This record gives sequence, structure tokens and C-alpha cells, in this order.
Amino acid sequence: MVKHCLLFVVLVVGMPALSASPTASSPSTSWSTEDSRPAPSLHLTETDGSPYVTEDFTGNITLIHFWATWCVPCRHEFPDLQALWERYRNKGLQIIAVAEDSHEAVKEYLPEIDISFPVLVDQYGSGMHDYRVIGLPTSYLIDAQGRLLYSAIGRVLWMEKDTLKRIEGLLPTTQDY
Amino acid sequence: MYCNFLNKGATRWLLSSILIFSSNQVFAMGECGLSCCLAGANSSGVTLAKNFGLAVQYEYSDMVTIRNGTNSVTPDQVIDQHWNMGSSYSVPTKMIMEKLSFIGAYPVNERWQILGIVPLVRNQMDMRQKSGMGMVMNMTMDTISGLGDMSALALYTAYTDAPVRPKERLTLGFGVKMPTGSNDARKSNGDLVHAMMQLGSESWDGLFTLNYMRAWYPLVTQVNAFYHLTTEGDGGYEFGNQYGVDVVGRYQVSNYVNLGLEANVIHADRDKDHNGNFSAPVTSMVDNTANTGLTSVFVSPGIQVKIPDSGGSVGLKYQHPVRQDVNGYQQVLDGRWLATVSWAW
Repeated sequence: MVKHCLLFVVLVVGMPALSASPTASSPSTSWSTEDSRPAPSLHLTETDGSPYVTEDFTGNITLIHFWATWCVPCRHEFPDLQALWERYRNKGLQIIAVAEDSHEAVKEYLPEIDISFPVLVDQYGSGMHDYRVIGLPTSYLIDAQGRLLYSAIGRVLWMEKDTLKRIEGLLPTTQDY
Repeated sequence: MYCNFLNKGATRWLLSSILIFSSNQVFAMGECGLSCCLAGANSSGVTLAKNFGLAVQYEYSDMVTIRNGTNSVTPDQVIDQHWNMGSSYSVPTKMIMEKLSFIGAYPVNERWQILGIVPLVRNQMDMRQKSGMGMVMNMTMDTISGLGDMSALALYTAYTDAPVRPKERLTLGFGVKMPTGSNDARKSNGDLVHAMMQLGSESWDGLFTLNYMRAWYPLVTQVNAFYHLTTEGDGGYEFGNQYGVDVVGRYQVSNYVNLGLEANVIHADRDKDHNGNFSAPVTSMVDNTANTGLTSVFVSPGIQVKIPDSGGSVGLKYQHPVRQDVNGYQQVLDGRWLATVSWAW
């Protein structure tokens, strides 16, 4: 029995060393195609605690971005997200940042970043659960019909050519206005 | 690059609540089972599963010491004090309890989780008997093994300040322990095996738990309280109610390794043998409800290792008794190892 216990301890302690591979530090945008199901509604709160409910995503292209203050890759995305917002906000793109964090942490953190799109707090994780988020950051693109089209787990280079092309492909054309 | 929840170690305390109830022999010896498993505390991301979580826990309990109150006594001393000419008297000299528990977790929504626990149990006991003529002999009883009492639990997050990596969280749980383990194993002479050696209690019992977590990352602290409301089993035996409190501290020493230290307090009421089927107080130390019910305190160091870039983790914990105060004479736990492997999908 003692031998077995010692073996177990060795395995337990040694496993991380064996299996921990260095995580790639360079961000890459890897989009996955979703099943075009209707985007789940969001029943969240704003940073001041007031309720925020979105049942219907039709009419605009929506980018829902799940993040947290303690998530380092998430923090790096905000400058580009703000640039994206400023570029397309008048062309039919809305961005919703959903924080998987406490109100307190979000309120403390927001002054550190310069963003003007809505930030919501998912205190109990209902948004995370409904959207099946398994890691942060995770972003979803919803088309003007309210369908979930694409998702990306991990940091996205929002001003990268391919990403812009993907978003522009969803935006209404000039003739649509 | 992203932050995988399953590697964040924030809400892993839930498994501990689950494992509290995964012991079936809890009922037998007050201190077996219970908070024992609290080890899992924070361990395993089984309850963080997007779709389903599974944990397998192996538990090895070793019992040799016999106590009278808080004092340690030898088997021979117990025999000397209880044996009467013309009547035999037996005392356990060693008992090993092993249990393999399979724990499944299903998240119904962001606040509710359903858990199912299926234990397989194996119990062995060595005895010393002094016959009515005064002859002393050692003997090994048949090993009792098989399915134990399964449990189902619902856990409700009453409050959390954040869904992942919370600083504060309060969770309530309730459930039922089902009579799936038999309690009718018999010795070669036809007598029922001791109640504590049986696979189950044949009773429907209520389980209630409360967990409060407060984190100062990388330090996470928790207080678990649980109550096991026992009822009379089919055989007329009723194990004593159990009450437990665990104070848990876990420190994340690296992205993949948590070290934990717990204090576990358990109190078990005295058992009742309503029909007398399991009682033989004149001839056996363990077949005597006067020798049941206790209060124990354990200190439990543990380690949990998360498998990088996956939903898996492994954990190991050792429970060491620091105080045991028993009613009458009881064989108590000298140490318990708990090894857990869990995975979340």
C-alpha cells in the first residue's frame, strides 16, 4: 500500500512537469462556425446593478465578447475592440462586452480602459451557460437575423484583415441602408 | 491564448460537498465517510463541466486503535473487561475499508447542479475472540464487497459575486441517500455480519449541506457544514445522525498545483437497533449500540494537480485524526487516504 501511495505521489507531482507545454504567447484568430441557431437572450446586469435584458438580436450585427478582469489575454483586446467599435458602430455593428466577474471588480477595472461600448456583468454565469462558454475570452458573432454564426475562443486580433473582412461580410451593404 | 475555466480552480469546492456523502460506511463508524472526502475540497473540476463531469475517488481507511472515551486501549484489555466465563467475547483488531466512488455532475443551469454518487465498497475485519472456556484466537472475517448506498444531490448557488473565480460564494445542497447497498450479509454461522461491515444501511436518508467560500487568490478558504439525517433501515438498524464542519484552506502554488489543509470535525449520534437483529452486546464489542456515536477531529493535508489544457485533475489527501472521543469502546480511524481523478467535459 505504501508503495502504491508513493507511486501516486510521484505521478501527481510529476505530471505537470511532463504535460505542461508552453502556451503559445502569440495571439491568433481562430474562428469556428456555429450552427446558426438563434442567439440566446441575455439577462444580465449593468455595472451599476440595473437589469439589462436583450431578447432579440435582429437588426444589427452583434459581437458578444465574454471576458474577465483577471484574464490577461482579455485585457489586451480592449484597444482593438474599441477601434472596431468606432469603425463600424454607425454601419450596423453593436458590441456587448459580458464580464464573467463581480460588479466590484468590473467597476474598479473600467476606468483603466477607454471603451465606450456597453459592458454587462454576468454575475451568476447565465450568459456563459447559455452560450456554452468554456474559456475566456470568447467572442460570438451574430448576424442581423439574430443567428449565431461564428465563435472564437482566445484572443482575437480585431483589426486584422481577415477579421475585418469577416465582420464586413456580415454588415449591410450601402444599398441596404 | 485564453483562460480555461477548468484551470482556474475557483469553484472546485463543490466536489467536496459531493464527496461528503459518497461514503456509505459513514453510518457504520461515525467518523468514516463524512468530511473524510472533503478533501476534494476545491479539487477536481467535475462540477464545472459544460456538459458532464465525472470523478472517481478511491478511499482507503485503516483502523486498528480502539478507544474508550478518548483513551486508547488494547483488544486484550477490552476482552478482559467484558469477558465472562461461559460466554465468548470478540473484539476487532484491524479493519480496512475501501471504497471506489463514481461521481457524476450535470449542470442544469447556472445555479443548479445535479450530482449522482455510486460507491463500490469492500470491508475487511480481523477479530480476536476469547471463548467461553477462556481460549483466545485470532480470526479473519469474510470480506464484504459490492455496491454501497447511492446518493443523489442537488446543489444551488445561493450567492456568488462572480461565476468564475469568485471571491465569495454560498452554496446550499440537499439530497437523498438511497438504500441500494444491502445490509443482510451473514457469517458462516448464519448470524448477521456487524452493521458497520454491511454494504449499506437499507434506509432512505436526507442529506443537507452548506458551503461558504471566500477567496484571496491564490488563497481560497471554505467552510462546509453538513447534516446527515438518518432513518431506520429495513433490518431495523438506524445509524446515528451525523453533523460535520470542515474548515478548508487551499493555496495555488502554481497554475497547475494546489496545496490544501483542512480541519474536519464530525459528530455522530448513537445508533439504534430497533429490532435487536444486529445486537449481541454480551459477546461482541462491535455488536453493541452503546459502543456507537462519537466526535472526531481530523487534520487533512492534500494536493491537487490539474492536467494542463484539459478538464482533468488528480488529487491526493490524507486524513489524520487529532482527537477522537467515543461512546463506550470503538475501533477508530487511524488514517485515511483519498485519491481522486476527475474530468469535466
